[in-house]
Amino acid sequence: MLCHPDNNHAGCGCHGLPRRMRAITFIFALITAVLTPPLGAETPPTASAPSQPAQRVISFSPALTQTVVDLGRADWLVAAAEHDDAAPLGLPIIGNQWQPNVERLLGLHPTLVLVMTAKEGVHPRLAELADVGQFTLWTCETPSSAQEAIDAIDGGQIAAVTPSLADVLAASDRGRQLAADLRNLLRQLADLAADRPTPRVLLVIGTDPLWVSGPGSVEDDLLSYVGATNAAADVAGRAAAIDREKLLTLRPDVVIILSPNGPPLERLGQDPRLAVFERLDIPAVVNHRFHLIDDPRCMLIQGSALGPVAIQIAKAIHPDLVEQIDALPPVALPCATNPCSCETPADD
Amino acid sequence: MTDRSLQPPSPTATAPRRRGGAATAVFVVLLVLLLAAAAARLCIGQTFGWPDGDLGQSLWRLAIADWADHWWPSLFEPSGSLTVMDLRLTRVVIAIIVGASLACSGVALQALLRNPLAEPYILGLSSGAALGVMAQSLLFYYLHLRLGAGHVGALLGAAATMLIVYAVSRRRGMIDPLGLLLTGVVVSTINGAIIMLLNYLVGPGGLRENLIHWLMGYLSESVSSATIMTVALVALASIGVLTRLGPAMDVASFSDAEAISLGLNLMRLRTTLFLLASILAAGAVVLAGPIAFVGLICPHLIRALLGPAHRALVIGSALTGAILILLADLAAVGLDRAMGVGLMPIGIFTAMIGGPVFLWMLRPQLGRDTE
Repeated sequence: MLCHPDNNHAGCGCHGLPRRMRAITFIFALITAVLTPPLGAETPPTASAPSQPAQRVISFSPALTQTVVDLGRADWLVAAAEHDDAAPLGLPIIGNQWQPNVERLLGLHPTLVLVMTAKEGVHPRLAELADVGQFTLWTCETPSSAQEAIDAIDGGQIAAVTPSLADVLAASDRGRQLAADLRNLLRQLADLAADRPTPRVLLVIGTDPLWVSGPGSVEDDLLSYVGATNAAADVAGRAAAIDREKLLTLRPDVVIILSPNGPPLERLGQDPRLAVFERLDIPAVVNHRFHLIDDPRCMLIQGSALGPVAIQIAKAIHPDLVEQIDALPPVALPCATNPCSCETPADD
Repeated sequence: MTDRSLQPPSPTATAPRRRGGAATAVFVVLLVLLLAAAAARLCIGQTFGWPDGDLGQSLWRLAIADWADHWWPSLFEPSGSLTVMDLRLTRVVIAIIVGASLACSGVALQALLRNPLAEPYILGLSSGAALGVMAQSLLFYYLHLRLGAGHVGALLGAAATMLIVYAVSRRRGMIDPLGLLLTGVVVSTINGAIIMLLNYLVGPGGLRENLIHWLMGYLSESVSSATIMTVALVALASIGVLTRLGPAMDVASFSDAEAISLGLNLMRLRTTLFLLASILAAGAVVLAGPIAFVGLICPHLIRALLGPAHRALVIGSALTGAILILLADLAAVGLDRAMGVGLMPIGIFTAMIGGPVFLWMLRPQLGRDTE
């Protein structure tokens, strides 16, 4: 609204302001308007590296959050997605990547937002906000192999992912070290298991109904590194519900249940999670080969957590190699804060 | 024909006698269809064809040996490993129990509430059972407290909800149909809110996904043979009592004053119907989670074929419900076999089969309303 000198100036903000002062204010506003990019202007590609290290990070994927923590940037996180157990406690919750709380997100003034996309892609509102320069949006597709998961951290050995997560977090050196450690770990696990029998392993991610890891998942790929084959290699998709009859045909030698913070596994017949396996003539039942991985990160192996989880899976599959696996050089992870454990049920 | 299906039931005394013959014919056809669906389900699984194993032996094991072994472990020789026949037969039996229970529960509730759109879950039983399952899982995860195998939590949750709804809806010592309906809806909403709150605040990873899948309705394979047979016996007894109550339900479809003047103890009948409907629905929930539509459409379908006499309605609905669940399971397994999509929840298929059938049945009624 224009303000006339003869008007009653109450509330207009220019009451009593000297004319020279108004002129200076106008010029200052003009310069600001020229220097500020207009709304909707093109911003650099969402996956380009920021010139300044990101200071305020929001991750919509728990696996990426774990990687951020492992890269030493936990203190940069300013919010957490729903059910993100990898994030430090006490952070405000900003919904999930399919239903982000945009108002709260903007109120936190993030400079970097991390999203691991699936088939549906990035939420359009997040993409719009990144386009108008509210923050840098770093995305990666949900990895389908261990190598892809590691490549996202350091960009890959042949620069497949640019910029990498470590780059956008201004932790390139640490990222390279972490990725190298993870690659070494997988290589060494593969070497250790090279001359061993290759058991058929069923990775269970839900027990009632029975949900198992199928082909095209990081879990599936990880099994090949630790000297095993996925018993559920022919089920539909990365995770599928199967019935007991299917279980009979899969004939797993080893069953590994992934249950973050799950209670200890008991014997067959006593533990409700093992009810679907009861009285089935499959090697895992006959030989009592049921293992529980209760590490809180066991469902986050699309990120840096795949290292400790791979170790636990390898120990469960090859109990005779536990000492050699424990002797492997440690991965650059703050494992002390997240105890790694692998439990086996008590013998009958 | 279908107009009649949406009218309140009228007494048997007014129904033509020739319906007796028609009812028998319909029952025979339904029985044949049930046997055909069961045989088809036995032949379709991970492999096509008659499964390995002896049907008689599997029946004996499921119905007698395992059940007896649960209570008197030394009575029989310990059973060996399960065969494909055992697994498929178990699913067939569960499907029959669940379908018959849900359908008969629907008949009882429609008679009790004099509402043709009543179905088992309107009383909040499914949400109560879901809350029970959630509470059981959380106790197990956080306190390592076991409430028994399978879905004991479902039974406890459904029973607790049933008691609350019953206690709140009683007026002057009598169940008020409208009060029961409203109380059921409100308690169901409260249960749903508590489930969402618990899921949001404390649900650990893995458990949330399990609960979501359970809520979509699937034939549980983690319940023991003893649980299956116990639920089967309770369901059979309840359906038997419902069949005997058929003439009383016919009279109860009159106004309260008329029914009482005809010598009917309306209070006792309503309490019995409420208990039977709840027990049947809770048993079905224990075995298969919440499955919608079966309790709604099966009574309507039989009412359209045989009229409103409740004795025939109970028997026909039980058979139809069993067929519907078997077909849904057949669709889930067949689709997985043919297209490799994984085992989908049967709740999806009961809604996909039941929904269009119900719409087709509603057509004349809707047309009349719009004229």
